[in-house]
Amino acid sequence: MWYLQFMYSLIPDSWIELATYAILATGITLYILSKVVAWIPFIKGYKLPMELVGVILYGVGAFYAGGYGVERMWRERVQEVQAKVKELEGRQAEVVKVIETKVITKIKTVEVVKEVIKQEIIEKEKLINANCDVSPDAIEMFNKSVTNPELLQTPAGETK
Amino acid sequence: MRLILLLCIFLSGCSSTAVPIVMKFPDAPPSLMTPAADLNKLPADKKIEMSDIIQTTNANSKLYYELKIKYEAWQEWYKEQKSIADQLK
Repeated sequence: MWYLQFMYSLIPDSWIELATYAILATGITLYILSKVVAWIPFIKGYKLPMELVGVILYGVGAFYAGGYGVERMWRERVQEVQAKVKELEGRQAEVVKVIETKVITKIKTVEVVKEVIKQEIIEKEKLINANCDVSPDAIEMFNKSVTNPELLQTPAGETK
Repeated sequence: MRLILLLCIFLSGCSSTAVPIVMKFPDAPPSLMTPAADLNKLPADKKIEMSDIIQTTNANSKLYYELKIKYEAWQEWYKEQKSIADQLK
């Protein structure tokens, strides 16, 4: 089936449009002629076949003309939406870039400030540690407090 | 009259064509895709002093503020991308 669609896509749109309207016009013409030939004695036998063929061609032509009109409308709509999507995708990428830059800048600020504090603590180490013993319980509690609570929780819901 | 009616029926027969156009799902900023680090603990193999506790707290608060920045960035990313996606409707 795909090759039929492929072949169909090779035909220029203007040819398809022309063929569609030609079929429709032939159908209408044959139908009108069938009414006329009914009055002409030596070809009046052709009235019924002309009328039948005329109506069939008219139907087929109208169907394809309608289908082609809808197709053309959708193609225009698709092009319009595709252009909009392309523009919005560009904006999406722009947002990602802006946020990435913002995050990197802010994290750098945090790192700088924390490094300054770290150096200050090192400088004042002796002063901070003077007359201050840290009990093993305090260390244990500290480590417990920074441990991921999910790791501390037993399946029964008790804390380890 | 019958022909006009027939024409209307045939012309309206093809009006249910659906055109699926999908917008690409937006990428996330790479810095937001890094896993979150665990908080630092006090070392068990040395004598712990008050300065060690403050250093560790300082390091942990650094991790917190980094995560806060990333968390807020995710919210901003979502809001912006949603407003962009809503424009396609």
